[in-house]
Amino acid sequence: MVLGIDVGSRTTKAVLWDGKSILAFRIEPTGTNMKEKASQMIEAILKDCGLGSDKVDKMVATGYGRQQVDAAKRVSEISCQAKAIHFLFPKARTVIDIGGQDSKVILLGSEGKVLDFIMNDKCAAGTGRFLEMMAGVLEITLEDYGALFNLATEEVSLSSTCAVFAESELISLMAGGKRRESLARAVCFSVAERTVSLIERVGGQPPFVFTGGVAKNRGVLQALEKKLKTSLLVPPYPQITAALGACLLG
Amino acid sequence: MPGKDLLLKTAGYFLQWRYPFRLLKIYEKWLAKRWPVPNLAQFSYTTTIREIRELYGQEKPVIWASFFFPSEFIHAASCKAFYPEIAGGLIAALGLAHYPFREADQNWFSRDLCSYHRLAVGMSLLRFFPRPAALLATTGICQGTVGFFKWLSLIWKVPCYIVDVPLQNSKDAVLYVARQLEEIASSLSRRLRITFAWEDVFHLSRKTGELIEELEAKRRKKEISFSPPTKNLEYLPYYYQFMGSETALAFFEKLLRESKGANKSSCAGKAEIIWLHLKPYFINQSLDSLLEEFGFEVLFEEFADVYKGEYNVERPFETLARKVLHSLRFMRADLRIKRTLAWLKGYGAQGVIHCNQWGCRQSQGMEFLLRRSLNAAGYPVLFLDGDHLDRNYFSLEQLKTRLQAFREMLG
Repeated sequence: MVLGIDVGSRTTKAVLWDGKSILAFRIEPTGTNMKEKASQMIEAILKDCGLGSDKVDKMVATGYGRQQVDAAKRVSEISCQAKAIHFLFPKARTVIDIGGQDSKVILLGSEGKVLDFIMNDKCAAGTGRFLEMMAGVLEITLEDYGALFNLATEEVSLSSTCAVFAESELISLMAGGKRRESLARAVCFSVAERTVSLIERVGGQPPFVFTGGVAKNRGVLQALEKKLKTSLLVPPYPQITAALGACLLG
Repeated sequence: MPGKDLLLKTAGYFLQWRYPFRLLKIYEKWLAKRWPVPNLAQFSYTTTIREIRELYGQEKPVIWASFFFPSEFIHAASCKAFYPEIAGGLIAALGLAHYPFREADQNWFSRDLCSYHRLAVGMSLLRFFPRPAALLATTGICQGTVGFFKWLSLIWKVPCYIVDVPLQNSKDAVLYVARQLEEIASSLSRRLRITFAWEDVFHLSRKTGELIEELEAKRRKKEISFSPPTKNLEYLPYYYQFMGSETALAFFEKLLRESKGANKSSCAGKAEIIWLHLKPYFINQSLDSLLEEFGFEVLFEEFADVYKGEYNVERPFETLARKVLHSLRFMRADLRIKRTLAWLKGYGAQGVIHCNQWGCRQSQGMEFLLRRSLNAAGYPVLFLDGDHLDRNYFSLEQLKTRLQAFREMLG
C-alpha cells in the first residue's frame, strides 16, 4: 500500500494506492499550515478506508510543500505527473499542468521518462490564481467560466500579460461596455496563450494531456483546444495525477 | 525613512575619507605575523583587507572597468583596478544590496535593467564605492554596459572610455580594438600622468594562465572538484580583476596546492553539469545546499573560460585586443554553443544549467538557440529564471522544483 501526497500551493491532494488501483483520494485547500494539513489529510484518507497507518508501506510526497511532509521519498511534481500520465495515457507525449500558482509543460518519452520540461516564470499570469483574480473582477465563480465562454458573441482580447495590469484592463473594458461573457472568454484565451507559448518553447507534441485544477475549467480547456487545434485528454480527476504519480514512484 | 537616509549619507561621506583606510596597513602587518604562510581562506581575507585599504585609501589612482575590460591594462599603469560588477556580487552576498537598489530606484533607474548595473549605480549614488579616476568599458558583452558606464561617469564626474568591440574576430578587428586601447592609454597617460609597463604584468598573466590550465586539466580528469559546487564562481576577482598581478598568481598557486591535497568527492551517482552564466550571490548557501542535496556536481563554469592566447610585450595593445575579442565567446550564440558543446565533451558532463539574470537580454536572447542546439546534440538544459543580486526577482521554491526535476530527469 502506497500513499501519495501532493501538497500544492492552493490545494493538497492525497491518494491511497494498493498496487493495482486507487482505494481513495482526497482534495482539500492547503491553508496556511502545510505540515498540519498534510498530517490531517493522511489521517483522514486512512480513516476513509478504515485502515491504520501501519498498513501503509510507503509514503511519497510531492508538490510545493513536499519538504514539509515526513515521507520516505520526496519527488518533484514534474516526475510524478509524467509517471501518472504515462500510466493513464501511455501514448501521451505532452503534459500541460496548470495549478494554483504555476504552470508546467512536460515532454514525455517512452516509459513516462521526462525528456524536457518548462515552468512559467515568476508571474502569476497563466495560472489558477490568475483565473481566480479575474473571476473576482468579473464577479463570477470559477465554474462560470465554461458556461460564459460558450455564450460569448464578441471577440475581446486581453493584451496585458501581467495579472495586475490584466485586472485593470478588464475593469476598463467593463467600463467600455464589454459584456461579461466576452470578458470571461478573453480571460480563458489569455491563459491559453501563455500556455501555448510554453508548449511551443519546449516543442510539445500531441497527444496532449491536461492536468491540474485548471483542467476542470471548461473555458480554458476549450480555449486551449482552439489554440492547439486538437482535442486534449483530461483525466477524470485532473487534480490528483501528481499524487497518483507519487504512489507509482513509491 | 529620514533617519536611515541620514545614516547612509553619513556613511557615504566617511567612506570617501582616504586616510583612515590607510591605517589598515597596521592590521595587515599583524595578519602577516599571525599567518606567515596563509592558507587559501586566510589569503583571500588578507587580500580583501588590502584591497579595501588600497581602493578607499586611494594610494594610487583607482580605475573602474567593465567585466571584460582586460585588467592587465590597469595593472600595467600601476593603478588600482576596480570592477563594479564583480563588487556587486560581494555586496549581494553580504546582504546589503537593498540599500543601493533603493537608491537607484529613487533616481529613476528602471527595475528592468540589469541588477549588476543598478546595484553599482546605487552604490555610486550613495558614494559607497571607492572614487574612480577614470572609467573603462567595452561594448562586449552587452550594450547595456555603455549606458551604465556613461551614467557612472556623470555621477562621479570622471572621464569614461568605451571600447567598441566588433562582432567578428579578425586581423582587422584586432587592429581596430588595439588602436582604441592605444588611444585610451595615451589619453590616460596625459590625464593621470601615468606610464605603462607591460613586461611584468604579461609575465604574471602568462604564469597565472598556466596554473588555470593545470587546474582545469585536473578537473577534466576529475582529480579535483570544488565544494560547494558553485564555489569557483566566488573566485571571479582572481580570474578577472587581479589577472596580471601577483595576487592572482599567488591565489592560483594556493588553490592548486590545496586542491591537490583535497579528497575529490566521489562523482558516483551525481549529475555532472556545466554551469553557464553566473549565480545568485544573495542565496549562496541555499543554492549550494540544494545542488548538494539533489546531487549535482559542477564540472566547469562558463566564466572560468579566460583568455589563453599569447602575451606579446612587443605588441601590448594587440595582445589586449585579442583578450577583449575573447569576450565574443560569451557574446555570440554560435560561439557560445560551440564552446559549451566542447566543454560537455571535454569534461564528460551530462547536461547544462544556465542561470538567467533578470534584465540580461544579451544571454536570455540566445536561450532558444542554446537549448535547441544542445538538445539536438543530446544534452538536456535547465534554464533557471531569476536574478543574481536582486531577491525580488527570485523564487526559491520554483528553484527547488526545477533543480529537483532536472536531477530526476538526468537520472
